[in-house]
This record gives sequence, structure tokens and C-alpha cells, in this order.
Amino acid sequence: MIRVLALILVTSIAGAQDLLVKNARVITCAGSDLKIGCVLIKGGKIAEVGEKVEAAGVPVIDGRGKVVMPGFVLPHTSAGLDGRNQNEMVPVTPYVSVLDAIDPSLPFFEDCLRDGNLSICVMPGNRTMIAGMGRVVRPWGATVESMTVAAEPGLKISVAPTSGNRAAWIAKLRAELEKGRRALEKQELEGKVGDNERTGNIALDLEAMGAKKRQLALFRLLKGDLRAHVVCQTAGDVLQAQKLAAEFKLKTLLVCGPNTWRAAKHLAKEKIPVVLSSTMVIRETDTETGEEIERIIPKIFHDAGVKFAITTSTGNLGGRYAWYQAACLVRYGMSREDALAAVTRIPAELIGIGARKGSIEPGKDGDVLILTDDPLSGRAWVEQAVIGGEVVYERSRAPRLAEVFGGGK
Amino acid sequence: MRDGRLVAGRALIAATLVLFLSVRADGQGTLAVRGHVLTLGKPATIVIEDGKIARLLAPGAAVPSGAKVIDLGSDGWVLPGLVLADSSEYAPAPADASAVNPAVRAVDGYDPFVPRPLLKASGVTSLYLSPGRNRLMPGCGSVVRVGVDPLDVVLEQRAALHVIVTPEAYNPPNLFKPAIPPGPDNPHTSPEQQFPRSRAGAFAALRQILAEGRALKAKTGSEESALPGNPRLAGVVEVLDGKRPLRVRAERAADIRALIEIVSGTEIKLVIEGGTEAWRVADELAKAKAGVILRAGTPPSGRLAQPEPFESDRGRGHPAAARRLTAAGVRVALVPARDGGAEDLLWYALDALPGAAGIDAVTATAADLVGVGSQAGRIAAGRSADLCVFDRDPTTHPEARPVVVISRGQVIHDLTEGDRPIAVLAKRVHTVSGDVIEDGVVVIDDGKIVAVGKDVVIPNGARRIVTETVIPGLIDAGGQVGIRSLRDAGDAGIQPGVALPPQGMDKRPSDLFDPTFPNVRPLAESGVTTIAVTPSGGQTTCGVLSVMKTSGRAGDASVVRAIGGLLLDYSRAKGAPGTLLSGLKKQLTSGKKYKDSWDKYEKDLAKWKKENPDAARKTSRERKVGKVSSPTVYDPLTGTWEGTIVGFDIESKKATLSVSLKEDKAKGTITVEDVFDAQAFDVTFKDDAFKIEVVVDGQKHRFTSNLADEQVSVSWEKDDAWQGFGSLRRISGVPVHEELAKDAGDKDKTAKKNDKETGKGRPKQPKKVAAQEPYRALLEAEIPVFVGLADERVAKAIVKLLRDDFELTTVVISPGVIPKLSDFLAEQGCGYAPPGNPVLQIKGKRVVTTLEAVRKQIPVAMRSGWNGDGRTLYAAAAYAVRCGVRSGDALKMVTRWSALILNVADRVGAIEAGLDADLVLLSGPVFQPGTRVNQVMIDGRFVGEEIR
Repeated sequence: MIRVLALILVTSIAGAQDLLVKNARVITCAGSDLKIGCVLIKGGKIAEVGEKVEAAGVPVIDGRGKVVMPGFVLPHTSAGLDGRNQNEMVPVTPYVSVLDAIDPSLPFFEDCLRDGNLSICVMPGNRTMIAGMGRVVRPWGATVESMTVAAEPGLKISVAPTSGNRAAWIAKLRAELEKGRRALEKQELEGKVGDNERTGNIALDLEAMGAKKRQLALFRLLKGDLRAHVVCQTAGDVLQAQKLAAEFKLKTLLVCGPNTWRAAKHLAKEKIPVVLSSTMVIRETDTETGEEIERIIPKIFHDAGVKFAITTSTGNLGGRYAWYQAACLVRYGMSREDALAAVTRIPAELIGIGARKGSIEPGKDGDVLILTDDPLSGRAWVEQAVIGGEVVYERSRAPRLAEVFGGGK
Repeated sequence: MRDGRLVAGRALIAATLVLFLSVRADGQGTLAVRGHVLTLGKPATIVIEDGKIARLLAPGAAVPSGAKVIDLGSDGWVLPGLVLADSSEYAPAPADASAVNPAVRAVDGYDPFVPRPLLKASGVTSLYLSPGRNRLMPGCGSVVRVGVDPLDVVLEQRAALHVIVTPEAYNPPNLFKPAIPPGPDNPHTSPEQQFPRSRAGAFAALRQILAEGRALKAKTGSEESALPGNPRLAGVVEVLDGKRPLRVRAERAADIRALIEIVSGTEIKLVIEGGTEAWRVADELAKAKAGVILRAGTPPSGRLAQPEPFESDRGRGHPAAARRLTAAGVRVALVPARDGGAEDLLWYALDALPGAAGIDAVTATAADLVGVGSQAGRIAAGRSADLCVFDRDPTTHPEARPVVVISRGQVIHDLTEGDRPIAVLAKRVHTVSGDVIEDGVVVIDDGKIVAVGKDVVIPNGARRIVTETVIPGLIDAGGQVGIRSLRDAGDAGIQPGVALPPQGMDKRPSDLFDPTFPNVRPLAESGVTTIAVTPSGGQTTCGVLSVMKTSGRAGDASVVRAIGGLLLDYSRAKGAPGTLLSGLKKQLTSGKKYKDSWDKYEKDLAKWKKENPDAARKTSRERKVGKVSSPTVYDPLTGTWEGTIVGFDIESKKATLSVSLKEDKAKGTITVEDVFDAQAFDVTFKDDAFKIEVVVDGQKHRFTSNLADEQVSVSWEKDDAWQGFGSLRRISGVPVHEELAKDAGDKDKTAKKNDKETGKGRPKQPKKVAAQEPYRALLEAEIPVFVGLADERVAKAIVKLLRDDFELTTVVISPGVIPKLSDFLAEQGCGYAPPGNPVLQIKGKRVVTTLEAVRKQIPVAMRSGWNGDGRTLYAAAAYAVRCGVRSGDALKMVTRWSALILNVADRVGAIEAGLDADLVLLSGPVFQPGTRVNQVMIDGRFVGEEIR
């Protein structure tokens, strides 16, 4: 009921592709910020950013006292998938795609609007060896297709075993990749792999699909057409992912859990950017002294010089907010600019939408947030969320907030 | 045969350890290692470039300029990096469901990022990782390098294909493939049983796999079948071709015979792992050119395998087995009897095969048998630079451990870096408290003397210093050094000549002592390592002495005793003896009263603690909390101490902080508004209350709370805008003591406990009076009283008062009274602390007061005096020898006796294990004319050497 109401309300204010936000503080996440500035969006794209911008016939939002910044980019999440289990138990399912599981009506997407997450890379869960295709979506739209920002950002792979048996897991993964490579070579010899073939909204009738189609995503991965989003749990996993990437010439994006911190220096040396999981602090017991040590993961990566994006998690109270994660990064010693980049520009670059999202620059998509306060102040609300120049969310008209707070704030 | 341990006599002949460090300007580190190369049987210089051994030079040859040289002198011994031919503790052994998994590589379970300091220190530079033991064919073993760049770690991914024929592999899991979904048309099938469940099955399966491999090879050729496309047969063909060894874990002679039969007539290279009974088939093994990786050596408190009638499958090799096998011509690599045990690998190996054969079994042969013989295990030009360097011959010294380990040209372990033990090898060690040790060794570690003697084990990697004579650091029983003077203690500049005048009893010279003052260092260089810094005499009560080190180290590091003695000077006192005596008596009586009040308190407290054990424990914690007034820096970014945000209520802008003191002394939850701007929480503890300072928007806000209260209201100080906030906000949750938290559910109990914790009936602590503290220490005989005397009658009365009435440790500082009162002083048990070695002229006769005192068995502690120069202390003692004092006694006058008189003999004054490492190294016999102080060590550091 509320959901429907929300749709109606918001639809009524949306529709336009042009918008001018005036007199607001502008955090561009791309170089210098404007203390008082304007952002002009035309045809869904950012047309101009400056201290004074005028445009006739364009709807204007007066941002006096407000802060404008690019929408947050979530580089890796399995939220947004319908159903209880986000993992397949069969270890190798490259033919699975989150496309079939993203549910636009999930409260998660509504939360994303309220929290300012305007680009979300939805990926299958972490527990399957070759888990399937992900998708980058925006939290706005009635169908997955209309939400899609990037259809096939990459294939999810896990080098961290679900059971504690690393060598066997890697042996199996290597065998699967090798099998795929052989099949690909055979297919190519026979000239059967067309570049225009895509995995997509496929019926999960494996028999009907035939072996070739089932392996299509794997073929594309092996041909460098897809990126592998590789989940790593330990520092050794990082190396393993790097070695497999070299062996099979894969394009990879490493999604690193907290225990990968020992590889930070190595990653910096090899200039490999990563997506860090939302857990920022872990406690370890020193095996030699028995002393408990606190490790602040993003600080270790930052000090080592690794470029990273940070994810949010739906599990904990603060960690679900991208601004909270950025604030924590500041707390752990990063500069404001770097911290904000880790939730906007860098994740956009890493998941391959850097040309369109992640900063307020002319030419990029008109995805901006109008906040009531500085994002790191801890008291900033998303006043309005703008996607492609359309105001898709207004706090004053958000029915759920109105219900909770009795008339809204 | 050499003595098993390195004794001083031998070591003395050895040259001093030399370590030249230099790096080529362009940063390209060429390394040169000098030493006796055990595997070559001669000394050599090994030049390492780009991770490889570039060439071997004659020992004297010039090394490339700019090369970093590792040279442990004539005691340096060099071995190839050790090869641990079997290990399962560094990579978790995989156990796949299938009994046959040749595609598994052990290295995939190895995390090269894990720091393994013990492994790096062991000298092992190549490590064989076992793929597991409980499947017939668990996979391929891998060889990794230790301590190198993670990308460089793998030496051989598939070093050998493993087969296990021992009973460990006889229980593979059933392969359970349930139908999905099960139904009437698709019923559950029973799980598939796997080979092998028996010894016969294991061998049948092995033959089957090899046969399949042969068939595949015949069909496709080796190229194709080598690829892991066929998971069941991956790598089997390579084994059939002899490209990599077939490594079979087998213990029994019968099994080994069967294996020899299987591989005979094929190209297969057989390596037996385990091999308890391999010696029984030694000749057959030699004939089949099979190698054996033997668990050997005698495990401490372990069991030896019984030779008859039958040995267990998991048995351990008998040490003699290795000898029998090598005698038969079988290649043997040794692994420790204990699994893992890399740090003792060499010891186990040498126990089983002494000398060169043992070394070979953990280097060259081990490398050959794990399939990396061309890359590791030998010292030769062109090979990977894997070396371990010892500072004694490891074949004769069981305690030898690598001092430097080099893996692929990188130093991965270096005992010569940082603070390391020091061994002073001397012709004469004057322990002072005991005998003079000829050709003795003093071992120093962590600022303390750890061992003294003739037959002392020198720690591995210790810095060796060879010298003539060692005496303890000298003690000046009274002098003035490091004092900027009371008047000029501020910034008025340095005035070395200004004396420390008599002061009040509440003053401590240690507070005035500046360890960096220019006259401290020369004193230290002269051999004086400890000095009782004393005020000048001239008044009846001159003040307190502080016993200090001359190490130049700041803060408490230089203080031995802040209240180290008391100085009374009656030598110039005017007035009737009666008045003087009654004045002194009054002074001491008041001190005694003070001491008694403390004695009573301590007695009462002990009694109370016994009666109220719970409350007593609580109080001790309380006191600890109170101490956290200067919190340790917990997080360098946020400053002092911080809470963790555990919850955030976005609507009310309220964050809940869980606060816990780092050492777990108090915990609780605090709610603070607008916390995100508040990045620092400054917490101070005082008694039972704590105070938190929160910086919000650049403004400081404070609230305070009482730890003992259950529900605490927060009151904000300062800042009007926050007024009223306190009445609204409360600390939610209960700041509780750890112990109370356990009983959180039981409120009554808590209440009772709270009652107890207030400390009812606890004795009241007397007030501390700084001016009385010296008397307390004095009356408890912790410190001596130095007393200046002149008039014979007054002197006797005062000494009697001090000794008889108050039982004080009394030390006479005036030489003048010695000739007449020496008998009396000896009888009273006094000490004598003269300035230098005073010689009096009495009626034309020379009276050496120190000699006089020593003859009467009065202990003498020499002091430099308040106008003297402590640098002449050694000379003063030497002059005493010239005046007829035995040199042993003269040495005690500046060391042991001073320490005893000052009651610091548990720290300084002798060369004994456990005492501070304060040593003076002399160029010749002590007090012999011409002998000079060469080096002085204070707290384990040589004066003049930079503190590292």
C-alpha cells in the first residue's frame, strides 16, 4: 500500500530530464568543491557546474543551505536479490544471473533512495565457486530492465572455499577454467562462438540450454569480455586470484574481506585496486605473543597505498550507510576527499561505470543527491535524490518517513 | 674432537666478530658471505647477485666494491639453505571427497603472506608442502621458498605425485550423490563406495591408475595427457615418464617391496616417504635407485620403533635406519621425527647421520628427492642464493642456530640486527663477589648479566668482545655530577662548578639530576657506572642521596634509588654535644613515629584484606583505575581513548557508545548526541570517577560520572547551549566493574557487594610526608646514613645513638676519626666512606685510613666527595693498592662494598648473573701500572655506542 503510494507520489514529481540546482554547496568528488555553486542537468546529463549558472525554462531547485554531491555507488552487494539464499550450492553455475532475482519492489531499493545509493552493483552470493552474472542497477524503476545501468558488469567467482579446503577448491576452480578454455578453443576451431551472443534472462532449463550456452558466460570471461569479481578472504586468496588471472588471462576485480590485510603492501606494489568489505576492524591474536591486536583494515590498505572502494553492509546499524562508512574512513586517518571518493568515484571506476557515474562533472549522468548537511556530519538527510535529472525521491514526500514520524520532518 | 660447547679458551683465540655493512650507491645490493663453507670443506667468499650465487672466491679475495659483507670472522660457518622435505603444518592438508585427486596442488593451500618468523629463523629456505595423508592419491606436493616475495614463492607447483599406501588412506568417504529432487521416479541411490579399504585395495588401485595412465599415454601422447583436463589422470603420465617422482608414503618393508616391484622396469622415479622399515630392504631400494625421506632422529620423550617382531605403520625411524640405508647406497633425506619441527631439523639430521652426511640429507639429497635438486640445496655458482650462516660449527655444536639466513639473495633472518646478546671474553673476569675467573665469559642480554663463567654457552648471534680484564662498573659512593645546581636548575645555563648545597629532607637529587649534563659522560667513560649523588656537607642534616646510573638515559632509567641514603655532618657542628645529640634523637624519634604509623597501617591492612578478600580485590582494582590519569595512547588518530559506536539513531541524532577501558577495568555504555562531529573522547580517571571530554564542533564538552553508581546522570560543564542536556540524557546502561558484570542479574547481590566495595572497616592510610620518607627507609635499614664526624667524644656518642638506639646502617665519612676510632667503629659495625684514598700524617707517620679500616674489617666505599672528581675513582683505588691494600680489597672499595653499603648489591657492584650489565673492560691486569679503561658498559650498552 505504502509502496504504491510512494510510486504515485514520486512519479508525479518526476519526469523532467532537465534540472538546475542553485546556491548549494557542491561536493563534486572530482577535484575542487564549490562553496556556493550550481549544477545544471540537461537531457539527463550534467551540462554545467559553476558558481553561477543560468538556464531558462529549466526547473530550479534552490539549494540554499544544502549540499549537493554525486550519488553513492555500491560496488558489491547481494542485497536486492529476492529469496532467502543468494548462493547456489552447485559450485559452478556461470549461467546464473542476478537478472532473474533482482526484485524492484524490495524495500532494499527504497532504502537505497533514502540512503543515497544511486548505483548498485548486485552480485550473486560469496559461497559459490563460479556463481554467475551480476548487474549494475539504479534503485528506481518498475522492472529490472528499466533499472539497469550496466547489464553485465562481471561474473562472480570465489577463490575462498566454503569448506576449509583451499587447495582442493582451487584445484576444482582451475579444472573448471581449464575445461572452459578447452571447450572454448574447440568451439572457436569450429567457428561456433559468435560475439553477439549474450547470456541474459535465460530459462533455467539446463537440458534445453545445452552445454555451450551454459558455458557462454565462462567463455566470455576467458575471452576477456567479462570481468571476474573475485571474492578473497585471506591474503593468500589474493595471490591465488592474481595467479589464476595471469594463468587464464582474466580481467579481475578483487573483493577483499578483512583478513586479506596482509596482502595490502603486495596489492599496492602490483597496483591492484580492490573493493573492501564493510568490516573495518578485526581483532587478531598474535600467535607468538598471544596478545590481542586490533587491525583497522582500511587504514592498513590506505597506508600501504592501495586504491580501494568500500562497501556497505545491511547487517549493522551504521555500516548500511555509505556516508557512515566514509566518515569511518576519515576517523581512521583518510582525507575527506579520499573517503568520499571511496564511496563514489572509485567504486564507479572499479565496476566499469566510471565514465558515467561517481562524480559531478559535465558529461556524466545527472545522478546527484541534495543533502540537508555535510555527508560526514552524521546529521545529513537525503533531501532529494536525482537520477538522470529526474527527482526520484523527496524526503518531505516520502510516505514511509511520514508514517514513522507522523507527518514527516 | 672438539668439546661440544664453545668454551672461552677457544673463543679467545678467535678474532672479534666483524660485520661490515655498506650498500652500493645505486641500491643494487650485492651480497658477499664469508665463512667456512661446510659442504665444500673450505673457507670461501660467496658473492650473491640478483638472488643467485654469482661466484665463489678465495677467502681473502676482494669482494665487489659496495657489496654488503656478512662475515662472522673465523667462527663463521656457511651451509646451503636447508630443505625440509616434508611438512603438513604450513598449508592445511586438503582432503577431497574423492580418493584420487592428482589435480590438487598443496601450494594452493599455502598463504605466503603469513609471517613465519620461526620458520625463517630455522634456516629452512625450501619447504615441501604435503598434499595430505588420508587419501590414496591426495594430490601433488609442492615446494615453496621461505621468506621471499609472495609472487616468487613457488619453487615447484607439482613437485611429486603423492600416493599413500598406509592405513591412513584406507577410509575414503562414500561419494553421496542424492537425486534432485528425489521422488518415486528418482529414488535415493545408495552412496558410491570408493577404493581402497584395505592394503590390497590400495595397491590394486595404484596399479589401476598407473595402467590407465599408460593407456592414456599410448592413446594421446604425453603432451596432451599432462594437462589437467582429465582430473583422474592429471600428471600420472608425467610420473610414468619420470618427469616428476612418484612419492609413496609407506612404512612396512613388504609395502616397499611391492612398490619396488610396481616401478621396476618403468621410468617411474620412486621416493619412499616415512620408511620406518626401509632399512630392511635397503639393498633393493638402492638397486631400484629409489630415495627415502625418512623421519629420523630421536624425538625427545618419544618412543623408538621396536626392530622386532613387527613395527607399526605409523612408527618412527630408528636413528640407525638412516645409517643402514646410506651405507647401502640409498639416497636419504631426513625430516624431523616430530612433525613440523623445522627449527630442529639440523639437530635431528645430525643425530641420525653425523657430519657431512647429515647435512647432505637436509640439503642436496633432500632437494633432489623433492624434485628441486637443480634449484636448491647446493652452494655453487649460478644457483639460487639460499644460505644459512652460523657463528660456530653446527656439526659439533648442538646449540648452533642460524645467525643469518638468506633466501634467494634476501636476508630473511638476521640475529646480528638490533639489540643482541653480547659475550665478553676476557683473560680475567673479576666477579668481585666470587673468584677471579681466568679465561672467562660474561654473557649480557637485555641489559643484564645472564651468565658468567668459564664453561658458558655463548648465545647464537651474540656479539663477541675479546678483552684482557673485566671488572664490575665502579660505584662512586658519594659525589656530585649531573646537577645544574639548585639555583640554576632552570634555564640559567650550565655551571659545572656549582655544588649541590645541603637541602631539605623532602628534596631528591634524582629530581635535579640531568643525565645529559656534560660531566656525566666523562664520568661514565672513566669507568664509574653508578654514583650516589649527594648534597654537600656542612650542616648537621644535609639531605638525601640518590643512587644514579651514568648511562645518560633519561627519566627513571637512570635512577637506581631516589632515596639512597642520608647525609648528616657533625664534623663542623658547633654546640654542646648534649644539644647535638638530643637534636638528632628528636629528629629520629619523629621519623620513627612516622614509620610506626605506616607499619601499623600495613599490618592492619593485611589483617583487613585477610578478613575481606572480596573487597580487598576490588580495592586493588580501584587503585589501578585511579592510576589511569595519563591514558596510554590507544589510537594514534583519535588521540587518547575512544568508544566504539555500537548504535546510531538517525532520528534523534543520538549515538550510543560502548566504552571500555583498554585493560578491561571498567565498562559501560554512554549516549552522546551529535557524535559524528565528536571525534575524540578524552577520558580521565580519578579515584572512582571518570571524566569524558568530547570535542564537538571544535568546542569541548565534558561530563563526569561515578563508576560505582548504577545509573548516572550526565552533567555538562561549560557551554550554555548544552545546559539542560544533562537532565535529559543519562548514561544508559551501567558502568560496572568487571566482577559486578558477572552478577548483573542479581540486584540484591550487587547491592550487597556494593556495600562491601565501599571498603567498610578498611584501615585509613597515613598521610605521606616527603620529608619523613627518608627516615622511614633509614629506620627500615633500607638505606644507610652517612655521617661526618670530628670530635672523638661526640663521634662516639652519635655512633652509639645511631647504632644502638636506632640500629641504622651507619657509614663514617671522615678520615680523621679512623686512626683513633677504628676499633670502636669495627665493633659497632660501621662502614667507612672516604673521599678517595686519604693518607694522614700523624706524628710524622703515614696512616693509610683505608688500609686501617680494612684491617679492622670495616667495609670501605670510596667516594669522590662533593668537590672531587669521580673520574679519579679508579686511580684512587689503584693508589690504595700502592699504599698496601690488597688489590682485591681495593676493587671492592669501588664496587662490591659500595653496593652493599648503599644496599644496591642486588643491582650493581659485582659480575653475577642477574645483576645489571655494568662492566669495565681494562687493557691489562687490574691496578697494574699502565692499565687503562678501554670500554665501559652500562645496562648492557657500551658508553659511546649509539643507542639503537
